[in-house]
Parts: sequence; structure tokens; C-alpha cells
Amino acid sequence: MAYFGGIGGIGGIGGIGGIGGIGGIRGIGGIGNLNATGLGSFLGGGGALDPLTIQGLQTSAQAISHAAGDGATHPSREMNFSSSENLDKWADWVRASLYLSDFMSELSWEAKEGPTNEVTLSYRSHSGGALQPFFSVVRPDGELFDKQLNLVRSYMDQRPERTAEITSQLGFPTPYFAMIIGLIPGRNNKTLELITLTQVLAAHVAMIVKHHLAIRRPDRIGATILPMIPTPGHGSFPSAHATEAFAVVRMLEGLIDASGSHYPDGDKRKNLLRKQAERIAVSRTVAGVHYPVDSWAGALLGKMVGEMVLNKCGAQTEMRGLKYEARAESDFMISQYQPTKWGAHGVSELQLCTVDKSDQFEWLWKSAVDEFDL
Amino acid sequence: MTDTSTNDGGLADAVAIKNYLGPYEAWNFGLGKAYAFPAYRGDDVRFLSALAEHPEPQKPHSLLDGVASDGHGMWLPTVWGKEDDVALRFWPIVVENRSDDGIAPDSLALNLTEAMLSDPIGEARFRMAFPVEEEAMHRHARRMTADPVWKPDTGVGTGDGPNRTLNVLGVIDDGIPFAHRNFRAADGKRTRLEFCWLQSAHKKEGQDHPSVLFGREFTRETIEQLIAKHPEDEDALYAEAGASDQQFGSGAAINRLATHGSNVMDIAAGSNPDKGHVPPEETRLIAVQLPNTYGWDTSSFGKDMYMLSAVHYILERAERIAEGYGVKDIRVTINISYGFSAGRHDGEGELEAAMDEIVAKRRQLGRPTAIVIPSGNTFQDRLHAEITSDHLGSGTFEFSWKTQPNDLSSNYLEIWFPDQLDPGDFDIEVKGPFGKISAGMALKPDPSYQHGDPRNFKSIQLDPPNQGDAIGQISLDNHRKSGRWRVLIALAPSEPHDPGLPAAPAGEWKIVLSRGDVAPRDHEPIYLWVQRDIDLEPFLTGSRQSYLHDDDYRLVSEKGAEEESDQPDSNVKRFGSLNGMATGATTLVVAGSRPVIGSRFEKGELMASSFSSAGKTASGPAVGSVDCTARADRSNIVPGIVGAGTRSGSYSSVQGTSVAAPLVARRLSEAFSRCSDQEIKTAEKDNYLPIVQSIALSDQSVEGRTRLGEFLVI
Repeated sequence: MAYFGGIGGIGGIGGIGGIGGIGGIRGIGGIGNLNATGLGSFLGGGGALDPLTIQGLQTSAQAISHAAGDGATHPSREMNFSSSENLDKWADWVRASLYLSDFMSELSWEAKEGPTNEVTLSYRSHSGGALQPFFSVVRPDGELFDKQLNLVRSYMDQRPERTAEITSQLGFPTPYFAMIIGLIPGRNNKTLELITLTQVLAAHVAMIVKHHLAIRRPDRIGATILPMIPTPGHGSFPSAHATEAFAVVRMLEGLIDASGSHYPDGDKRKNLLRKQAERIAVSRTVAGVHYPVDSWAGALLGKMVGEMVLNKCGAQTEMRGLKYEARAESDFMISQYQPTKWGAHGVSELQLCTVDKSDQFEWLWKSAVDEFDL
Repeated sequence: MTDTSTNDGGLADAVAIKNYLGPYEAWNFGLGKAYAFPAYRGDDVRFLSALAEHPEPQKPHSLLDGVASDGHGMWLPTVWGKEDDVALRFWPIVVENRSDDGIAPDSLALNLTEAMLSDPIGEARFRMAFPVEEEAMHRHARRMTADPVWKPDTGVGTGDGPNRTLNVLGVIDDGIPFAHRNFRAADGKRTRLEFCWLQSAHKKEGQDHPSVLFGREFTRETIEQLIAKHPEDEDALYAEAGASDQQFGSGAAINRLATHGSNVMDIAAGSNPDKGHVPPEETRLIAVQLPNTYGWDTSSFGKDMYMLSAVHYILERAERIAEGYGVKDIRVTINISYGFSAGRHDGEGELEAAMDEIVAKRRQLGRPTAIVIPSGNTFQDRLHAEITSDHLGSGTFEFSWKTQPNDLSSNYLEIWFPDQLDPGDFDIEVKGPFGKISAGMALKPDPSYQHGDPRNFKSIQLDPPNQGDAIGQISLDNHRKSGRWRVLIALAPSEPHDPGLPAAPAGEWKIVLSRGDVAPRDHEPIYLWVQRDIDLEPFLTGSRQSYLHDDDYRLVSEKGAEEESDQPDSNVKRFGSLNGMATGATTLVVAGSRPVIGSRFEKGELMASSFSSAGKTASGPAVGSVDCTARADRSNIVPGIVGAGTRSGSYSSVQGTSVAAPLVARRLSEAFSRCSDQEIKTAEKDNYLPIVQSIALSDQSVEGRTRLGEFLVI
């Protein structure tokens, strides 16, 4: 079958797509790793066929239609009103649009100018209630990034050995997580959909923060950074790759917990997932497009997004808000990314945040968890 | 370059010292400083390492007695034999650079003078080496480093059999994964590494009496604490240990997937639990991790002090292990998978002589001591040539030296006259590509140098008639006043890192050696070696290898195979390419080999790996020789040997004689655990090869034996 537009399961929600028009999350689609999105192509063209086939369909329709006869019409059944049961009937890109709209409609943000410029993200439920700040980040001054450049340079020598990873992670690095928990399309479509959804949400949230903080990339302030991949057209801080990776890992931790005895060694898988997320984030520094503090900001933001997703899915998770004030000497390491250590890197806690469940997210969650029956 | 300093009051002593600096120092700190590696050319170098050579053996305590009491100026790292006050001629030292303008020959001289006030210094020679980074240096260390806090592992010895003698295996390398599971005991928690010295880790603050002068030391106990603390994250472990610290602004090798050191140390001492190996607990391990800066310069310059201090450290700590475990005269094997291509090749290079001295001294005390070294990987690199008296029949001989474009580092060619041949009646002329540059020198020492090795210098300039920019240096020196005369030609990079600097044009340089009427007509060959100049791992040095050229040198045989024999008409030779630090009397030299399809490797039927360097087949002065061989390639089409990567459970493949040597070191440590004192004593004169389990090689040809020795170790 020769379709124009994405073939199901391929293309589509690549990279950090722009929110063009109705949310055409195609972005950098087509670059790497899109064989495992589980969401197919966004706005996939409705399956438009090639002109020859369209012509053939018309001639064959004329030739065979008489075989249906002229009998009376048959009564038809209706779909349920406003029901998550219908989600499976919609095209994958339609579900993606619904998840995204649902999530973003409960998100608000404030960019506060002052002695310290600060961006704060808050959650407010559809059903009303208070605005609950869950992530706050202070804009570091330029001097901090000048100092961070030195750290960026010290990673440059790893470019040759990380080239395969860096270039195959330009889009979403889903296969790198799938490897750890053994996901394949077909058997794990809904889990892959959940992963992609989490990444898309994380990317959108990261773009909001990046836009307001407006931090220049390492190659703009250091002539010898010479990145090995094109520097993306958005701000450096926080890192969207770190946001996405740590959001996915946080969500998958919940999924592993919900999968019961499917994995005998769930703790090890969680460790590997966290380590993989660290490596994905650090590889962006190796490539020369991020400072280590970008990874810090992204990893913290990603944790928040992951926990919001879990709560919307009904996998109730304590969600303690975080504030980040970057430190010039901070390198990013997973060993420091934990509540007992991260205070030294400028992380402090905010209030607890309560997130309501969402029918759509719950439906997807249940479908994904069902894939881990044993 | 001439000695411009005269009797200018306070500098008189300094001038005397300056006179002892060799041609590499003259280039890297003088004429060629702008091209030197970043750590040399910077203006903020505070601590310099050096190898000091005294005319008479000196005791460490008396060396330190001469040190100025105001502050320091000179420090000794951890040295072997300090308890017994063993006297040695060679000492590794660190000196402080008190100049605000970086290093230059004058300030270097002043620093050395101020650092060493005792009388014998007047006649000492110095071989400078890489700086010690300020963050790594314990500036306020006391005159002798402290004893480490260490006690023996009470778990050792159980279940290893009663007939095993506890011994020590030391590994000196880069990027050593000292917490790797392959170096642990069978329980997976205790490590077999008793001591580990990271030479360039940033120092641990708050230590007013450190056990190492620079970097950091870990004992078995502190390594085990790190392992216990970070059971699931070795990245965090190495970061906490300071092993991932930046060095002179570049990232640490340990952060890579694989390093030379991870592979080498695994072959020497690894025990893979996935393969059911039983760790040899009777072999206690000591590791020394060299600075990353090591990779910056693949010529011999800059390494000596770090190497020698590593040997001192291993021997010093070995004596502690002996005492702790109650082993008399503990047997020590040290693997050093390093080398360089030039050097005098008669065992009397500074580092070789220094290692021979300390090894011989320890053997004299009845303590078996072995150093295993690879034969080198430059067999096919055209870095060696010879000029016979026949070549000089007409009075002159011209040869070609080709330098490459886009080379960011200096190139060096050493020309060594045979023992006791005075080159005074010879001239040398160096001509640049297309005949545009020309510089010459009569090979006579300049009498204005009243101290140190007799020598002379001349610069090579662009646009000679108009005294253009200097882009090279010709020098002559009677190396260590021993009657071995050397001409060193140093050329600037063809593409300096700073485009504003003058470049030495790449291409074919012609060098003409002329003999006058007085010189003897018949003499041993004059040997040439080009220094190795490659970007090893890669450390982003931008180095490109220059090489010697002869139209009669054949790269490919008539059958279309890679040629591995020398052509009589070519003055460029493969045989004679042996590692320049593998010609000492006490080193066991290992070549690399590979299996051949259809033959039985384990029966000694094999071929040399094509890169594996060798000594001379023909008559004439020896240049050192290969003692034995071990596998360096899996086959002729699958290169390298598999060993550990830097993280537990990871693997790497490394090719070179560097991976053959550690297998021999491993087998030797096994022999040390098994053999009687008498067996070991008898084997000492052959550097213990007779006690290593080996297989006689089937190839008895002269070339075969020269390349691989007589034995295969598997």
C-alpha cells in the first residue's frame, strides 16, 4: 500500500514538534526512532491514497455496487456519549490531540520579572480549586553559563564514542527505554503511546519555560564548542531532552510498580531507566548543545511532568513541587539527583500538589498496564 | 640558539643549571614554546615535574636536606627505599615555577637552582616533564609523604592453596577503572587492589600530611568503601574519587566507555565473574593512573617523571604489603604498556637507566622485581632508518623525511651516532620542501657551553637569507656525556594551533649528512628514529605522524600482501623499530602476534602482528630485542584483544603490543606465586622469562626470532 503521508506507526510525533495550527505535532518527524511511537502520524491525512488507486476505487465501485441490491435500510447503533470507551475508535493522532488539550488546559504559567527573574508553572483542576505551583525556576545570570562552558568542553572528547547515540536521539529516544523494559510495537502499543504522550507533554512544557527564560546555547557564547549536531532553534535552559527523558522515567517507574510481578527485578529496571535518562541528558552536553545545569532544570521539570501524568492516569503519586536555582559549578549526575543530595545543587521543595484524574489518561493507563499481564 | 647568559651576578648559578637542559627542553620551553602542548605554553604553570640525574648516588634524606627551608621549591613524591635511605642517581622531583610569565629556559634554570641548594646539584642533569596541576599538588606537603593508613585483608589466603606465594602485580596506565568488579575477590565486595594512585586527580582538601605528593591515593579499604557506597553507580563512584576531575581543562579518560588502561589492567589482572573465573587472591594489585595529559605528547618528552615516580610508588607500597602479610622479599611484577619510538636504544636513555637502577637495586636486596614492556607498534610506520659507512662512501648522504599537512604538533627526528664515533668532522644540512629553506650546522659542540653535555644549537628559519621566523631547531649533544652523540631536528607544526604563528611547511624535507676527510671511513651504522606523533585515543592533539622515505622501501610484496621484510637497498628499515624505552637491561620485552588460519596457535604456529616492532636482524649495534610474544590480535582479520571497558560488565577491544605485554605480566605473577626462591633467582638474569609457562615457537628464522623471540605466552 502506498500511502501519502505517514504510514501508521511511523513518522508523526517526532521530536519537539511545534504546536502549529491544531497541534500538528509533526515537528522533526522522520528523524530516527519514530518506529515506536505507538501513535502513528499526527493529522495523518486520513489515509489519503495515491491517485491511481482512487481512480481504481471509483471504477470498481461502479462495477460491483449492484451486488448490494436495493433492500431496506438497517437500523444502526450509536456510540456512547462522552465516553473514554470511544478512544480506541479514534485515530491515534486524535487521541494525541485530546491528551494534549486535556493536559494543557489545566496548566498555567507565570513569568515574573524582578530582582530574580522567575518562571512558575501551576496546576488548576478542570473542576476548579486553587492554583497550585509545582515548578519554579530562577533565571541564572550570564556569568553562570560562562563558567558552565568549561564543563561543556570537558565532555567534548566523548563525541566519537557517543555519535550513534547522539544522532539516533535527535528525536525521542524511545528505543533506549524500550530496550530496558522489553517493549515492542504490536504487543506494547499502548505503553508506547503512553511514553510518546509523556514526551510530547514534557516537550510542550519545556518550550514554555525555555521561551521565558531565553538562555543562549553554549555555541553562542563559546566559539570552541562547535556542536556536532545543529543547535535547535529554542533556548538552552532547561533541556527538553532531559525533561522528556526524566518525565518518561518517572512515568515508567509507576508503570513498573503497577505491572505487579511482570518483572522479577523491577528495582534494577528502574535504576537502568534512571541511568539511561542521565546518559541521554549528558549526551546533549557531549554534543555541545546543552550546559549541565540545563539537564538539572530539565530533569527536575521532567519529574514533575511524569508525576502529573501518573496522577492524571489515576496512579496516585505524591507530587511535591520543586524550585531550582542553578549553581555555576554543578555538573549533572544521577547520583546527585535525589532529595538528600540535590539541595547542594540549588534544589528546594515547594508545596504538595494534588492532581485530578482524567478519563482519557486513565483509559490509556489501564490499557498499558494490561499489556503487562502475566 | 646560543647561551646568551653571561656572568650577571645572581644568575650565574642559574646559567650553570640551564646548561644541563637537553634539546627537547630547549625547543619546548624556548624556541618552540609557542607550539608546545597547552600545559607547557601557558603562563600559569606553577609546578613542574622533572627527573634529576646526579653524578653520584644520592640518599633521599640528604637530597631534601639541601632544599631551601623557606617554603619548598622542591619536593620528592612517594619514593621507594626512604626507610633504608637507599642511594640512587635518578630521582623524580617536583619543582615550583616562581616566574609569573610561564616557563622559559632562564626561569626554569632559576627554579631548579633555588629548589636544590646542595652541592651535588652543580653536576646534576634534568629531564623536564609535564607540569603538575595546581589542583592536584599538595604544595604544603612535608618533606616526606605520609605513610598510608592501610592494613592487610584478613580474608586473603583462605582457599587459595597452601603453596601459593603472595606477590604483587603493579599496572601503570591511563583511565584505570580501579573499582571494576573484575579486580575484586570472589565475594564481589572485597577488592584485590591494595593501593591505587591517581596521579592527576584533584587533591583531597584538608590533608596537611598526605600520603602522595600530588593526586589522590586509595587503599583497599577506601576503594571498598566507595564500592559499598555506590553499588549501582560507578559514574558517581569515580566522580567522588576525583577520578573524573578535569585535567588542564580536558575531560577524564575514565568517563569514556573504554580506555587503554581498562583493557590492559583487565588482561593483566582481571577476573570476570560472568565467565566463572576464580580471582587469584595471592596476587595483590597496585595501580597507578597516569595523567590524561599523557596522551598529549606521544614523543618521549614529558613522561619520565610520572613514570619513574609510579615505579617508585609501586615498589614502596609493595614493601608495605610484604610487611603487612608477613612475606619476605616480596616478588613484584610491573606492567608498563607504553613507549616511544626514538631514543638511543642501548638501554641508556634517562628513563631506562633510571628504571634499571632501581630494579637492579631491589634485586640486589634479594627481592625479585620484574618490569614488562611491549615491543612497540611502529614496525610498519617508517620511523627508523640507518646510514652505513657505505652510504657515506662518496662523503655525503641525503635522505628524506616527510612531514604531513594539518599537523598541530611538533615533529622530531633523532640521529644517533654509534658509540664513541665523534661527529666532529661531520656536517648536517636540512632543506625544506621545494628547496625553500636551508639550515646547516657543523657537528661540533659549542665551547661556550662550559657545563653539562657538550652540545650546540642552530635554528631553522623561513626565508633564510632574510632571517625569517624560526620554525625549527637543529641540535647536537653528547647525550649524558656518554660518547653517544645525537642530532635532534625539531620542526614546528605544519598547522600551528594559532594561525598567526609561522608554520613549518609540510612535505619532503631533505637532510644531507656530510663527512669530512678526517672522520673514519669505516664505522658502525648511524641510526635514525622519528618520534611517534599520533593522536592516540583520541585526545584531540591534532598530531600527525611524519615518516622517513626511501624509493626502495617496499610497502607491498610481489604477492600483494603487506610487506614485512626489509629491502637491502632501502635505508628505511622495519627491523630496529623497537620501543625506545624497552632496551634497558631489566625489562622483559613482549611482541604481539596473531593466529594464522589453518595452523595451531597454541602450538606456537603463528605470525607477528604486522605492527609489532622488533630489534635488528643484521650485525651492527643492537637496539634491544624482543624476549617473547603474546597474542595481540584475535586473527588476521579480527583485530585486537577483548578486555574490560571502564564500567563493570562492559568490554572493549584494544589492538597493539600494549595488550600482549600484560598477559605476560599476568603469567609472570602466576609464576611468582608458584616458583621457589631458587628457581626465581636462577631466572633473574633472563628477567624471569624461563619461569613463565610458554611454548616454543615453530618459526626459527632469523626474522621470526627477531620479531617474536623464541616463546609464546598464552
